Amino acid sequence: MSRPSIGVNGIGHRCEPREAPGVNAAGPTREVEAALARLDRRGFLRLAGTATAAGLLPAGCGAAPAALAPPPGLRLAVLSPRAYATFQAFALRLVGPACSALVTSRAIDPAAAADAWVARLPGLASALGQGLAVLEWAVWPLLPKLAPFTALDARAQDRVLEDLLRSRMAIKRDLYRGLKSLATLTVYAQPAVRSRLGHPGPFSAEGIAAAMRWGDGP
Amino acid sequence: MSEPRLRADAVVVGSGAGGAPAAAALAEAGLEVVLLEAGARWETRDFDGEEARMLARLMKATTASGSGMELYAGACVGGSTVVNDALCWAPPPEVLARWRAEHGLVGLTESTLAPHVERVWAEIGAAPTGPANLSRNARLLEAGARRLGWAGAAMARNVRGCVNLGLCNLGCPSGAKQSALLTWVPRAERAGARVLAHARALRVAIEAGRARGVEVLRLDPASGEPAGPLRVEAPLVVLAAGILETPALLLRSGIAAGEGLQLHSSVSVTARFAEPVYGFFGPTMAYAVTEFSDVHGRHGPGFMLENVSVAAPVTANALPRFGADLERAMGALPHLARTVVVLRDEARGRVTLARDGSARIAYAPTPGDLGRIGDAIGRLARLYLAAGAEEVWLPLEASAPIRSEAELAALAPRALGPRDLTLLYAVHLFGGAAMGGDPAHSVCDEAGAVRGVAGLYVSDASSLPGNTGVNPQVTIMANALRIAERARTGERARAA
Ligand SMILES: Cc1cc2nc3c(=O)[nH]c(=O)nc-3n(C[C@H](O)[C@H](O)[C@H](O)COP(=O)(O)OP(=O)(O)OC[C@H]3O[C@@H](n4cnc5c(N)ncnc54)[C@H](O)[C@@H]3O)c2cc1C
Repeated sequence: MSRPSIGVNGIGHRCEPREAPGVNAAGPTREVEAALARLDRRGFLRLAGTATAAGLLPAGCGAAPAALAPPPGLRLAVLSPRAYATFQAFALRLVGPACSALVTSRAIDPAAAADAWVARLPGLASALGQGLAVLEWAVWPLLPKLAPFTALDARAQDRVLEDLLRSRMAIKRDLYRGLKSLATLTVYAQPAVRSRLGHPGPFSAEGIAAAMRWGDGP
Repeated sequence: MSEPRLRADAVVVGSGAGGAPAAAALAEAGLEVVLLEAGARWETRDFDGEEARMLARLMKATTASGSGMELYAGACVGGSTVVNDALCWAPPPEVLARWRAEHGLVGLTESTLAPHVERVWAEIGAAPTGPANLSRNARLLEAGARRLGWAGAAMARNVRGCVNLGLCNLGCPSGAKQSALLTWVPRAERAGARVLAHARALRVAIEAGRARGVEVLRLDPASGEPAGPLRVEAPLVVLAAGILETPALLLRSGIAAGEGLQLHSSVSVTARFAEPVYGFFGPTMAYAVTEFSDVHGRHGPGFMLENVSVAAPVTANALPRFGADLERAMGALPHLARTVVVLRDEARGRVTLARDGSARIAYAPTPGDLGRIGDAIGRLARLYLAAGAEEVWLPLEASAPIRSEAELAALAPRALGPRDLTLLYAVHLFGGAAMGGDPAHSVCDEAGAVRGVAGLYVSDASSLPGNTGVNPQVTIMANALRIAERARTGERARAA
């Protein structure tokens, strides 16, 4: 994601009580348009134009599914609960069933990790907020079903990801890349995931010995 | 109430490869030095090998507009040297010759740099990598290269007593890696330099065409939030905040800069072997295929192939596909080997200021660069198949794994775009405030002095006029020592 020039709280906060000053309150349509404008790429503007012309931008702002909501007591530094849920939904589809089970069982929390990671990088934090809002609200016009990303079933979400990564629009690929970078970081850097993948932890003497054993080679 | 002030003979901004050696050299020459660092100061005992925590503490990342390339740098005392892979290469003579011919840096020769390179080599303990530090991951690259008859060698590294933890990018918990944190910074302190962490330079104070010091924002160590202003007054100001900041600092100070940015673009190829590789252990990087390099006497298309750790997050990021496909590939993590392409780009980018005053980087590899990346990843796939890999993943976002030469040959040739690649990134960043002989086309003169502002120098990678074709930390450190010497003698002469 490119470095935007707006404040840390970015967008995605409209429906939340902790609304940042200056974030427009005219509804998700304006919110998405604002996000697209800030991302400021010709491709995105085209996407916004298409979505708006087709009358596809949402008029309501319901809550994301409860399963994706931040756990009670979690204090998010920069992400709104909706952005949190969107990131979690993206991460779940990205990493496949086994790691996803760790997310759904709350053994790991990639969205909380993403929130903490970007909290110290204001430019990235606002870009992430914008990107997640676009994923949640604006890429779905490309699907037959009119629903935010978090409300789609797994197959439809996969189609969104597939569309993003194959898109001819640079901005959609950038969105996929940016989210993939953050999702892989926040999932695969977790010790629980590491051990599931057969990594014995950073200080395993046997693992190191095995890695350094070569003998006659392959 | 006026802001707090510090007075010194010299203030150095940034404590990485370009700043810490300069600070040490100036302090050892008897100057009172303040070394400013925006990041925190962590010590070896703080490095616990936990990726999420360490990466958050030690690194920063940004993205280049125009290509979506990810750029990484260190963000702590010691700068990128704390998170780098410890590889050491002397400045290539061909590169210096090119800088002389194309940028008018007539005094930048092997012999003028030699004493500085020698000093760097000794200070950071650079030495050849022996068999005890060549992991299976490195040896598989070597084995494939041998089978194909390609030249390669273990690289020199700046370590003392490396125990193969595989955590070079997370600060090195064993203290083996001789980063600036363990070498130049303590050296500077022993000579009396004062190191201020959590001190972000905002702009250079310039009066009547002379640098007078630096305006600083102190950051709260716990929250990272602004904690108040500080002014460091000094007649000599040396900027070494890295490419992600030095050009922006100059721009914020009203000095034209930011053109001519150049990178080494990187992508990686991952391969699965039947036997475990445990590629997350051992030095993160150690062996290079030099066959296709265009420096150090080689005349290839201009890329090196260097084995690289299979740390889980970055490996997953570099693999194509998602969901079950990604899970299948990552499920074989202990069996994976990985190599990175280090391309000597021909592209040039620029740094400008965003509205909030932060740096905005625009950079896109040229079609020629992308063609060479395509060439490099194809060759790497061949190499891994020759080494016995069962599957090879190219860094192409929508691609399937390759299992044979026939499958590789069947891949339709096509022009690559930067966004076809999974993880296109750079950690070797150059230029943006380059030295040069022509005042119209260079921010600094050959001594690293910023034109038009007396007492202001640039000693980090931004002062280099282009990429080096090899891992650059030694070149940057040697150049920083040279510039510190020139700055000290230049300012003394001016004062006299
Ligand atoms: C992951 C990684 C691996 C690498 N591996 C190798 C390798 O194996 N071999 C090799 O030769 N090179 C390697 N490099 C590259 C090498 O480390 C860098 O090229 C080199 O350190 C750059 O030196 P620098 O002084 O320009 O910047 P840095 O070393 O990045 O130092 C800049 C410092 O300035 C600080 N700073 C920034 N802004 C401000 C401000 N406003 N005020 C105060 N301080 C500020 C930063 O926090 C940072 O500490 C690697 C780099 C990375 C990121």
